[in-house]
Amino acid sequence: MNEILRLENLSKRFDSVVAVDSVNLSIYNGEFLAILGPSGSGKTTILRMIAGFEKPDSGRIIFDGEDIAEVPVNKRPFNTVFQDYALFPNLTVFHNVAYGLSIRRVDRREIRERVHEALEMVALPGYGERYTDQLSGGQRQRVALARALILRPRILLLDEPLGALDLALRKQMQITLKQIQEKVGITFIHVTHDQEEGLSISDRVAIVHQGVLQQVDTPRRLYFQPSNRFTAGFMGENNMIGGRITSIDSEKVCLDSPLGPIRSRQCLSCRGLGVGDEAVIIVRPENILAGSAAATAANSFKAVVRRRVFTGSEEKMLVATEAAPQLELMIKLHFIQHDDQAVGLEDSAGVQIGFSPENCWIVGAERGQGNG
Amino acid sequence: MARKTPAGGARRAEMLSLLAPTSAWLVVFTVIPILMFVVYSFWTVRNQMIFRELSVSNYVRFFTNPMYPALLLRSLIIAFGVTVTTLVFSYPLALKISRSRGRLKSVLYMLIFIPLMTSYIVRIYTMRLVLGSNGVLNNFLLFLGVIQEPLQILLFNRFAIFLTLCVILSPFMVMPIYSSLERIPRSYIEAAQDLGSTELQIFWRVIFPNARPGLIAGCMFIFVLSLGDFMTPILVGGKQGTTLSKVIQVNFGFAYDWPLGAALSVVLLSISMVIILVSNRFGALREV
Amino acid sequence: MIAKRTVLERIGHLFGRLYSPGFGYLLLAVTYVPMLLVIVFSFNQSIIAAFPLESFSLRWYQDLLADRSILVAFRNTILISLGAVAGSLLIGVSASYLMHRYNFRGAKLYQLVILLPFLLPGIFTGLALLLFFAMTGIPKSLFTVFIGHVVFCTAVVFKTVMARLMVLRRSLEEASYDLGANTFQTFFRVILPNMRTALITGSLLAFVLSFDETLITFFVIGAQMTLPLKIWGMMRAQFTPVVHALASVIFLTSTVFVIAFSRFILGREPAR
Repeated sequence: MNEILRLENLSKRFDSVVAVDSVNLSIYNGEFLAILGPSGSGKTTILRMIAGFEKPDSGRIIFDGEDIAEVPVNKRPFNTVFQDYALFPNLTVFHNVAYGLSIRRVDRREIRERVHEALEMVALPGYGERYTDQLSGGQRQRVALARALILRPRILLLDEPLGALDLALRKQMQITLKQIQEKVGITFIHVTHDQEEGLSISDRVAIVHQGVLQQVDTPRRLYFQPSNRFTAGFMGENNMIGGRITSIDSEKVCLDSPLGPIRSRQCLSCRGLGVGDEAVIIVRPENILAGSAAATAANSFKAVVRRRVFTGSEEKMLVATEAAPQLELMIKLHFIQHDDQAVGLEDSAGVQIGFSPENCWIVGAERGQGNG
Repeated sequence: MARKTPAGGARRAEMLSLLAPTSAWLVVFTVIPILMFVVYSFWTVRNQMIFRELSVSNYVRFFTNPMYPALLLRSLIIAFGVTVTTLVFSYPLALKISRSRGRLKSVLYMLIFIPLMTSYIVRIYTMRLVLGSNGVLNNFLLFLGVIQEPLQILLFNRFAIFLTLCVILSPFMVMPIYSSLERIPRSYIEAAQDLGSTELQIFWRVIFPNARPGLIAGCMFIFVLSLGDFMTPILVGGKQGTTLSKVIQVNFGFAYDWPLGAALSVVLLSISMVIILVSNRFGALREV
Repeated sequence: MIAKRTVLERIGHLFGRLYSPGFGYLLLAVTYVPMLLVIVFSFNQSIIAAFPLESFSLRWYQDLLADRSILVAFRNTILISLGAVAGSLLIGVSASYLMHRYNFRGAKLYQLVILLPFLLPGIFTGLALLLFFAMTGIPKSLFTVFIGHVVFCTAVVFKTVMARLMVLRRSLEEASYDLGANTFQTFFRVILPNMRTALITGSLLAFVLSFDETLITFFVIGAQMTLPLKIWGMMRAQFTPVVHALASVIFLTSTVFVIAFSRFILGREPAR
């Protein structure tokens, strides 16, 4: 894969607030990249700097071998799909989509052809004569997409475009976006705060927190091998148990925690940690076994059921170990895999829980030990 | 958060291409005239000629001749009286319009808007018609037998100026107050009601504070306009109803003492500017 | 138990009930009755403007139409008002776009200077311009009146357009740039069309304010007449009931204008 855009030490502050802090990121040609992070993490600012709406305070944006940080918005070969779609209310759908072409003085016949083609691609054929306030949210979104794609940008930038849609429509649009991207072959950079969205349709995900890039990886690796506490905490639901490292070798790490001694595998996020360091062990609720299977796990503890939560597709249980009753852990029981004993558990019933060293990670107790 | 992108490079050129001509216009036709005005007030008239040497003699005349400060005081008092009175009557109207809905609301709003759009001088005339000793009001009262002889006090005096200004300027008070009131979200009032406030409390704690910018804007308008108006004193003030603004106008007319007129205007202008700037502190200009 | 109202609260409530509509309607009455009387008298046969009325007559209106000087004044006023609208649109829109889009030092001062002629009573603006024209040797004429009106009306257009620009979504402009347009194209294709209502409102307001403008005009006018000044002249001179007819015409024109204007504005949904 060859690189199409590179951000080098990109920084931006607004008054006294640092929005983006020395971000280094390579973006490859033809990939679907998501920039994922909570509100205020700086992800939108990064996108806007790529688009050209904000000027970086320091750093470079390298495209085709040149720094384009000084190039104005309207001269960059990128196009944006805005969060509020930004369709021009005074123009019809046709003229909205044709806008970029008419600015470039493309001739009328070609415009007509290309607009029809674009509208077909977003499944809105024949909508050309409508005005934008006659369209639904999903339709407007697609018009915005068509308007940007018709110009054949080298990179398409999407600023939380699915935020305003309801759940079902959103899921549908995610698939549509992915299909279009694959068909057109353009690089997509997509900003979102929805972790599931970021994971499900992207080739790679860049996690941003407080302006700092935490990790860039494929969804699978991010989920199973988070490099630091934030990333681990941001993806999926987690149980976090604090403790102190008692031993480290090339295969495993041992931690002494309020629950008792815990053994974990060696992992990416343990780099830089030594014996005696404070650390946090992270276990996902779906990786904690309950009942008879738990007894044979390497990390096994006696616990008591505090509460059960039923959310339809899954059943969660909050338990607390006898050794550390103040620490509540969440367990997910999938109906397919549940243990006989676990199903019948009442509140305050005793249960054995456990997890294997392969299914947990250790991260440093300090935040932000990121590696991009 | 809307951030203005700072000007830089080609953008600066764009900005200047707008800023330069508009500023030029403003400087030539607003700033310079006002400055000239002030400069003029420091010149004097001798032998029917304007003497262009700087002197404060006009201002000295203002302060030493007891007539002028007295006139200023009179103008201020009238302006103040008009402001207070219009406030008392305009506020409830603004409130009423704001509380109305649908047709009534549009009708009431138009009723206030029409006088604003009607020639000022026409409205002064209508007042003169009504107030004269031969006027409608007098004839009406005579007809009712309430009075035996026409009331002379209604016209050609300070009271007439006061009354006329109140009627003419009241739309300028109603409008800003109405705008302010309209901006108060219904939810504020409903929340207060929900929490058990009485009407009076709602008025004092929710409505009044939020309507204040509009109130101040209205008062500012009325006061400044009353100070500066000379047509009303000329048309309905008679001999008794001379205000400072009238004297100023006279100085630019047949009295032909422009520097003195300018000096007197500067005095009035300064007072008006102070009022405008002070009102601005309270957010009045947002309501205008 | 829900608390009962105290006596004080009852009195307050009653007063509130009376005060609000009562005083309000009183004000409306006092504002309109004199005007309506003038209209009534304009149809009165007699020269004396008093009750009881003589017979209905249109003679004052006929005299009005026959009076050439009035018609000329009317024509002058229309011309100046149209010109004032054009001039104030040009300057007002430029100035508000400037303030909206760019940050520049002295923006607050700039805005104050624009609004000043509107905030201050006409006597100051009028006198300042009078002095300016006198000192620069520009003779007083309809042209100087035109300038005075533009200075005055620009503030109105500026405010109206500015208010609209501030609520115009930023993303629309950004989208235009993103799609390759420059500032010029963005202004004419995206911004201007989307503030149509504000432009129309501003223009109409400017027109009417210029049409009725008396104070500034009084000082900077030359030998010719505008309609408001014609009335002024008629009021100072020998009394004739033609004034009633003229006043009624002006009033009714304003009324029709406001009604039409409100219908127009209320009838259109503003563009988002």
